[in-house]
Amino acid sequence: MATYNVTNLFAEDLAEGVHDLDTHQLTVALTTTTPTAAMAVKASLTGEITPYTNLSSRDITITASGHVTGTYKLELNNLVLTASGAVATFRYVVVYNDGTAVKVDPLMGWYDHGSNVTLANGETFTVDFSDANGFFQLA
Amino acid sequence: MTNAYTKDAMRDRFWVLSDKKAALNKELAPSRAKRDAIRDALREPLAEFKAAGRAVVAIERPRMGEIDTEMAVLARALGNKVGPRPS
Repeated sequence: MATYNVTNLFAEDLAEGVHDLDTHQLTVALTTTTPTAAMAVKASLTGEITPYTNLSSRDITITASGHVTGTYKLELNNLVLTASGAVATFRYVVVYNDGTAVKVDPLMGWYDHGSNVTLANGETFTVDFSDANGFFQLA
Repeated sequence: MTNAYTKDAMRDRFWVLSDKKAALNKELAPSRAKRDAIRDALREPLAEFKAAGRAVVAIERPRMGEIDTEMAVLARALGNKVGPRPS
């Protein structure tokens, strides 16, 4: 997986009770434009390929949320996005929290695929989250 | 040059600050009471929200995880070309 970029506000949101990473629904947004660390919520993204025509569910399943001897790790399942027709071109995969009642869609971070992705009917794009390191760790 | 930070001056200043803090606490009391009342009212719906989330996770984590993992393996093996859904 490409390098993970974290938004500036994520750590503060984590510390101030915005995220419950055990039960909240995490989702990906796909964009054509580079997100910036200063962006706070999904509405601030530009180039999002809404309404995601012909694309399967973007919801992420949390594999595990917990600690080992004090080091917290969030593990996410790989997410296979499947096209059932032509999907708009994208490059950036942005992870946000769709399950918190405290804010509307706060951003967590994003990956840059490095090049544009175009999906035709029957093609997939896998968001391959790290098994070893998890989505992120907190010590 | 006189030293303003004599022990007597610091004692006086300490009690001035103490009075200011007491006054500020009095001023804040209604705002804190309002905040705490909202907190108390939110406890039950928040507990329901958390329980609903846990109910989803209890089903989703083992079952969706297994599906996601196998789909990712198959998609990789197929070079991300799984083909159109069979009719």
